[in-house]
Amino acid sequence: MNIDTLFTVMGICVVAAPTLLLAVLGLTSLLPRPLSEVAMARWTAGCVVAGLLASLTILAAMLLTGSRYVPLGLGDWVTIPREHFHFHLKLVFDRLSVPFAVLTFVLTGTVGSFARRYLHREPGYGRFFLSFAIFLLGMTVASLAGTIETLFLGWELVGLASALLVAFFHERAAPVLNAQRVWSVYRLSDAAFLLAAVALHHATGAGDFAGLMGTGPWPEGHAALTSGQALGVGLLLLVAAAGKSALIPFSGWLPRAMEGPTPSSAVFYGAFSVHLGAFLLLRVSPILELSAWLCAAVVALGLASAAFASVAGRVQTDVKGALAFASLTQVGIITAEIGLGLRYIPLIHIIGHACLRTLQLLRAPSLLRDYRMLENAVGGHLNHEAPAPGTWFPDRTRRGLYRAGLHRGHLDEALDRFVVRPFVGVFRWCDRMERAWTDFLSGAASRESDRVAPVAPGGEEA
Amino acid sequence: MLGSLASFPLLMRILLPRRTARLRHLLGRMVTPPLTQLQLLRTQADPGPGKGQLGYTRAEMADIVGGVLRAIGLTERFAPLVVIAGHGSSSLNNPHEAAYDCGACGGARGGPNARAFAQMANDPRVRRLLADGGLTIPDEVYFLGAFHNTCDDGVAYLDLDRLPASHREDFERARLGLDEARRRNAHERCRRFRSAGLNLTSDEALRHVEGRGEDLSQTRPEYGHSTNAACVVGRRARTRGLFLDRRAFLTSYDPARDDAGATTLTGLLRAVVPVCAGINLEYYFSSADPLGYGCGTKLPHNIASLLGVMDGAASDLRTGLNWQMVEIHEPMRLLLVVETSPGVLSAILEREEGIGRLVRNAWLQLATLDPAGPAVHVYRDGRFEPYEPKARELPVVSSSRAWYRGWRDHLAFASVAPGDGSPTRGSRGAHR
Repeated sequence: MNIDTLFTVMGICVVAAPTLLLAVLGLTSLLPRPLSEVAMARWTAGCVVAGLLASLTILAAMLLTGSRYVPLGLGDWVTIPREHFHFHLKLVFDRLSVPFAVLTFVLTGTVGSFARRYLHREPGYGRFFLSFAIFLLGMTVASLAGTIETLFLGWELVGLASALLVAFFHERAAPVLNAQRVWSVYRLSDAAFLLAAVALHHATGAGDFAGLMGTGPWPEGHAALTSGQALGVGLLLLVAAAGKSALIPFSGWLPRAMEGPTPSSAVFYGAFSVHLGAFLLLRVSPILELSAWLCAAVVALGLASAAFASVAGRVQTDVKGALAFASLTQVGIITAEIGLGLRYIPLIHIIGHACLRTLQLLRAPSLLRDYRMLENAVGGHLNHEAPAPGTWFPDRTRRGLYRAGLHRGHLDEALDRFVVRPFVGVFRWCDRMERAWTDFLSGAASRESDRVAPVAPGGEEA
Repeated sequence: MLGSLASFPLLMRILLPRRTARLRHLLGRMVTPPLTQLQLLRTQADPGPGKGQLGYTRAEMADIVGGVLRAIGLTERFAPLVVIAGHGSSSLNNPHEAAYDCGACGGARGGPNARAFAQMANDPRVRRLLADGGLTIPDEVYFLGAFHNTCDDGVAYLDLDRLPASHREDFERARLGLDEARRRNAHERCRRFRSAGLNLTSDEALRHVEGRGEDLSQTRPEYGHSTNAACVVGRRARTRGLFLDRRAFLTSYDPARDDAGATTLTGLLRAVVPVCAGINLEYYFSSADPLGYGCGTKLPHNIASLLGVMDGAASDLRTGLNWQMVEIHEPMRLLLVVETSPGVLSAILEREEGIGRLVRNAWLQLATLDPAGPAVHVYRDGRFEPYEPKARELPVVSSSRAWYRGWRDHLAFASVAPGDGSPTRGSRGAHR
């Protein structure tokens, strides 16, 4: 077997394993007798191990052959010849994607094993593992994506799984509302991503990273764009990354996302979802190099997010909220590193941070015990009289910072007021105009839906 | 970069929880030998937080030791080694850990109390004071403190370095007996855990419960007092050989040694009734209304302000027991059976307002067991009425294990008589 066949077979395995898992869990959940807990856990473990082994094989083969860039085309899935558009599914194995894929399999496997016992006898056990499979597939596809459409596919799957798991306890209102909030921010960042993809497509005629970024494996690629194009596309991608990674001004959703079961919070907001924006920036790093303004924007956004999260994280009263902001602080720093032109350091930072934060989030319910052990070891109460951080600020500033942190920077309120309200207002205005004109033209109330009463709750809902 | 190192504990603690815990304990022992001393004797007259104001005077120690020994009827025929065990429960990733600890003292652990009690009871000066009060503890009797971890069925013996060489052999015998009890207890508990097979051996069962206590992802480290249904205050001889399915609190009390005014019983009930009824009602309401009185499922719980849990990102503080603790509980009021006469108990209900209110307002059911015979009287509508049992015969089994083997649900009473035949399967349904 020659090395190319090995790469092809293993590369397909890496993506096929999560696809198989999703198909099995998804299809059996439609059957009258769904899989048992043990069977679902076994399928998950088996597919994760298969994917991990395949990606490790690729890593070993790449190291042995010294190959740094292995593309793997899976054909065109959709073609629109007239628009010169083809949805080209293509995977790329390089120094960025392989570590990310390995990390994905290791952490999701571990957290899956955790969830198997944590969710034991929970009514939503099957639902959790189904969303988990969606997430695994999305994450694998996103990390290995070789074209911007492929990346978008993975990106969407991750967002879907993320929102579904935030709303895991859908019998209560708060998780559902917060999941909708997460979902809305994700849609906003998706829209920015799509616009960027279309813009790229227009500028270069292809969405392929390789064509787009010229020759050379990551991180040495060069994009065939002008500086101005790079700035425009890059800013759109930055908005997309900011939405996904909860950077300013989208930070409000991150603590709200801590509604799901602990393992999903850990793997999404400690490890992957929150790093996906940074990963996108790393992926398109050749664009960043074309525009100094873009780099400056990335650094500024990263540092601002890190500073904000560090202030907000200090005053959170709940452990998961504090961890969410701690996570965001690091993501902000990672983003700034990317903006500064570093490539390997952010990657290593992401891997290290993902491992540490996952463990911390999984251990979050141990906080009381940890405190007790610490106090037992110290032999008394912990010293709360120690000077609070930031004493060099004047009192007024400190109070202001405290309030800003406690209110999470009023970011959600600001978004509601300055983005959501005008947006809704415009469309309501359009609706009113349309109604007025149609009524005027027809000479009577023209809209049938106005005469239909809102659906009354029936049956059990009443 | 350093963060990547966190992947080792992450992987090990989740994939191999029990092994990792053993490794950590081993390392912990190598690094810091646990050497602590209790501050027991108070030198100042007034208690307080200051220097020399902690602890008890000798007279207080004698009161404490004498009170406990008289209450449990251990005033003569002492064994050479008396093990006093406190209890507590240790589990990981569990904000509700205290709910498995001692309910009477608001969620603390009894190890230090057992250690202190043993030290006080061994003090010759305390024993002299006790002897002056008429309670003679022979010189060869030694008290040993211990701590029973109800989650992994581990027993830690405290201050073993002070154990006299003369008692070493007795201690080894006691330890062997307790080890067997640990294994059997773990085995009987395991039948309730869905994730433990029904065919475990005793050793596998012990390993299983040890793994549960050290598992970060385990939301049901133990079931605690779940399924509690009854409390028997009386001589253990009256219930010996009866299979109670781990559903009864057993409190030792010997009516023959009590005085006419039932002073000992009153003291006992003053502690037993609020504690057992409190535990029972806590489980009752948390399982009857898991979202209102209980705190719902613990999966989204989020520790807030170091004092409680919220559901998810923001919610009210959740009180009560979580669903994982009470899912096998059957909400029912405690049946308190006291080995005494209805007259004595009625007098106590009259005298003790706290107990009387609980009983009169039907927060628990009360019955007496005649100290001299099998007659049972049940408290109904303010008076004791004779109880007519519906069934006269109990199934007879050779051992508890033969009765519960292969069953997950509640089991009916059975009479355990070693050497008898195995029961018929049809007779096991839960006793109502």
